[in-house]
Amino acid sequence: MTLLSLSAAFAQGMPAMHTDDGTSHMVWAYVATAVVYLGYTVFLVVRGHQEKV
Amino acid sequence: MKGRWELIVGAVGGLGLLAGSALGLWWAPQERFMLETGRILYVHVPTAWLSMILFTAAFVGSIGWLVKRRWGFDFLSEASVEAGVVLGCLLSVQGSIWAHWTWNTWWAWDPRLTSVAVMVLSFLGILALRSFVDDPEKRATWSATATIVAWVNVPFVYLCVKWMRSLHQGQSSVANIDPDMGKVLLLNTVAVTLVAIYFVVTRWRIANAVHQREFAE
Repeated sequence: MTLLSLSAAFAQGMPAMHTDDGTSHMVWAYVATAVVYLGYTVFLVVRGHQEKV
Repeated sequence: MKGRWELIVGAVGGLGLLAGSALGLWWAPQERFMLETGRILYVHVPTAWLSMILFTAAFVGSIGWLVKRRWGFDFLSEASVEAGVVLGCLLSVQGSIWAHWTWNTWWAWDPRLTSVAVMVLSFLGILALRSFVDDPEKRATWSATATIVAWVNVPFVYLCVKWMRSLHQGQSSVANIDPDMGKVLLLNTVAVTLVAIYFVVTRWRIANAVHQREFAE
C-alpha cells in the first residue's frame, strides 16, 4: 500500500473513528484565535499609550 | 491619533476577520473527511502565511539595518519578529487542537511541526536577545545577524511538506479547494494581512518612541 493510498484510507475511516464531528475542537481553535488577536491588540494599545505613541 | 492610518487598516482587518470566521464556521461547506475540524483552514492557513511573511519582513529589515544603518530598518525587524512570534505561537496552538481530533495526538515530531517549532523558538530567542542587550547599536546588529540566521529555516517550513514525507497535508490555497471554501480563505487572508499591517506599524511606532527616549536619556 503506498503512502498516498494509506493516507486516503486513513482519511476515509476518520469520521468513523470519532463519536463527535469535531465541533468542540473548532470552538477552542476559534476561541484561541480570537484571544490571541484581541490580546495582542490590547497589549499594543496599552504599550502605545505608555510610550505616548 | 492624527495620522494613525493603521487604525483604520486594523479595524477593517478585524471586521473582515470576524466576518470571514463567521462565514467559515456557518456558511462554508463541511469538509468531507475532517468534518467540522476542516474549518481550521480559515484561521490556520492565513496565520501560517502571515507568520512566515512577518519573519521575512524581519529578514529584510535586518539586511537593511546591516547595510544602511538606518534605525527604521531595526524597528521593522523588531516589530515583525514580535508579531511573527505571536502568530507563530497561535499557529502551533491551532494546529495542536486540530491534530488532537484528526491524528489523535496533540503533537507529532513531523517535519512541518518540528520546523515550525524551531522557527518560533529561534525568533523567540531573538526577542530575548534584544531584551538582554542595553546598547542600541549592538542590540540592532546582533539581533539582525541572528534574524538572518533564523530566517534560513522559513523556506524549509514552507517547502518541507513537498520535499519530505509528512503527516501534515500539503499547502492549501484558493486554487486547490472548493470555490466556496476558497472565497472564505481569501477573505480571511486579506483580513489577517490588514491586521498584521496594523500590528507591525503600531509596534514600529512604539520601537521608535522607545528609541527616542533611550537617546534622550
